[in-house]
Amino acid sequence: MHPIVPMAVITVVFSATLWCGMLWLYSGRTMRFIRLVPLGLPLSAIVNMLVKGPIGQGVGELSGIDPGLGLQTPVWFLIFLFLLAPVFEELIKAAPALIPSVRRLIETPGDALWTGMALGIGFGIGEAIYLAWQVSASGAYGEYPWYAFTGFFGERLLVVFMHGMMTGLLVLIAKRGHPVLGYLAAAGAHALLNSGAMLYQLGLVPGWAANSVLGVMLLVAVLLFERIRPKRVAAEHSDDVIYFSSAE
Amino acid sequence: MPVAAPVLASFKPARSYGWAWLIGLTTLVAVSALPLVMPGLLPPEERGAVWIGLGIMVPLLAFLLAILASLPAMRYDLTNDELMLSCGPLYRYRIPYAEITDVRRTTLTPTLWSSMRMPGLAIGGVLYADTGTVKMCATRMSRDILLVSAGKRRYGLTPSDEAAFMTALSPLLPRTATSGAGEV
Repeated sequence: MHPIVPMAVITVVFSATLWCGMLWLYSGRTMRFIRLVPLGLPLSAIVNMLVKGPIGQGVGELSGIDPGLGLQTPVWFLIFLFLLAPVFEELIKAAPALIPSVRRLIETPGDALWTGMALGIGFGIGEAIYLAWQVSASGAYGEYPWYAFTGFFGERLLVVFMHGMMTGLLVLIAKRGHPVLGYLAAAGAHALLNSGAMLYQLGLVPGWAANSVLGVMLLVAVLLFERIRPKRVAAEHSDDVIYFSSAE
Repeated sequence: MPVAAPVLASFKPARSYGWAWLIGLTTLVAVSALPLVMPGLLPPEERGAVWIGLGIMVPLLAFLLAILASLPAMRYDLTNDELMLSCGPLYRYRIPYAEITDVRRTTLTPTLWSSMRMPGLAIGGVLYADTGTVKMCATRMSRDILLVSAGKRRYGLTPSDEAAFMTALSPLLPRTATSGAGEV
C-alpha cells in the first residue's frame, strides 16, 4: 500500500466531517444540503480524465509541445494549461445544480449558497481522493512514511472549503440572475488560487510564496463567507429564555 | 496576600464529548509535527523551516494538552460579589454581579474565525456572528448557551443543572432590574 493512502483516508474523513458539519450548522442544522455532497464526489475524476487531460494532451500534440518543458514551454501554452482547471472545473462543479430536483431546493439566495457549497465540498473531497489515487498509481514518494504527507492533508483540507466557496458564489450569483458573472467570479477566484502553485511548479517562486497565495485566498474567502451567508433572523431569537434583564 | 472570597455555591458544566474532539485535534497536531522530528524526512537545507515549525508546533501542543488537562476542572463559582468562571489555571473570568445586565439562554452562531471551539467545547474568546466576541467557558459551542452580559462584555457558560444555577444566581443580581424566566 502506498504511504499516501492512510493520510488520504484521514484527510477525507476529517475534511468531510469538518466541512459537512460546518454546512449543517450554518444552513440551519438541516441535512437538506449535506445530501448533495455525494453528487460532487466523482466530478473531479470525470473532468480530469475526460475533459482536461484529453484537451491538454490534444492541444499539446497538435502544436507539438511537450507539457513537461517547464520554463521552456511557450507562454500561450502555459496560460492555456493554467486556465484549464478554472474554466472546466467551475463549470462541472455547478452542473448538478441544473438537475430539476436540485433546482427545486434553491428557493432563496441562502439556499443557493448552501447548494453550491455542498457541491463544491463534494468536488473537493473527490479531488483529494483522485489526487491520492494518482500519486499512489504513479508510485512516486513511495519511500516516505505516511506521516510525511501532512502537507497533502493541510492543503486539501483548505482546498475543500475553497471549492465550496467558489461554487457557492457561482450558484448564489446565478440565483440573483447573473449566471455568467457568477461563473466568471468563480473561475477568476479559482485561477487566483492556482496561481501560486503554477508559479512554484515553474520554479518562479519558492514554496512559501505559493502557500501564501493559498493563505491570502483563504482569508478573503472567510471574509466573503461571513459577509454573504444568511444571518440568523431576529425572529429566531424568540426561542431565547430571558432569566434577567436590566433593559426597560 | 489577597484572601480568596468564600464560594457560596459551585456548579459543574454539562457533560459533553468535547474532550474527544480535543484529543482528535491534539493527535492531528502531533502527527503534523512528526515529519519535523523524524530524521531524514526533510532535506538539510530546510533545517531553518524545521525550527520554525517546531517553534509553532511545540507551544501549540503544550497549549492543547494544558486545556485537555484543565477540562475536568471547569466550574462556575458564586461568591458574595461575583460569578467566577474557570477552567484550570488558563482561563478564569470574574463577573461582578453589579455589572450584570442580562442573563439568557440562547443559541449563538459561530463564525469561521479561528478560536478554541469545537463540538462540545468552547473556551476563551470566541467570535459569534450575532453577538460579537463572547468569553466562553462552556461544554457546548452554540446551542443553549447561558449568555451573561456585563457592560460591553459577554460570557457563555453551560451549567449541568441550569435551573439550580439560576436559582442560586438570581438573588445575587442587581435588584433594580426585572428578573424571571420567560420565553420572549
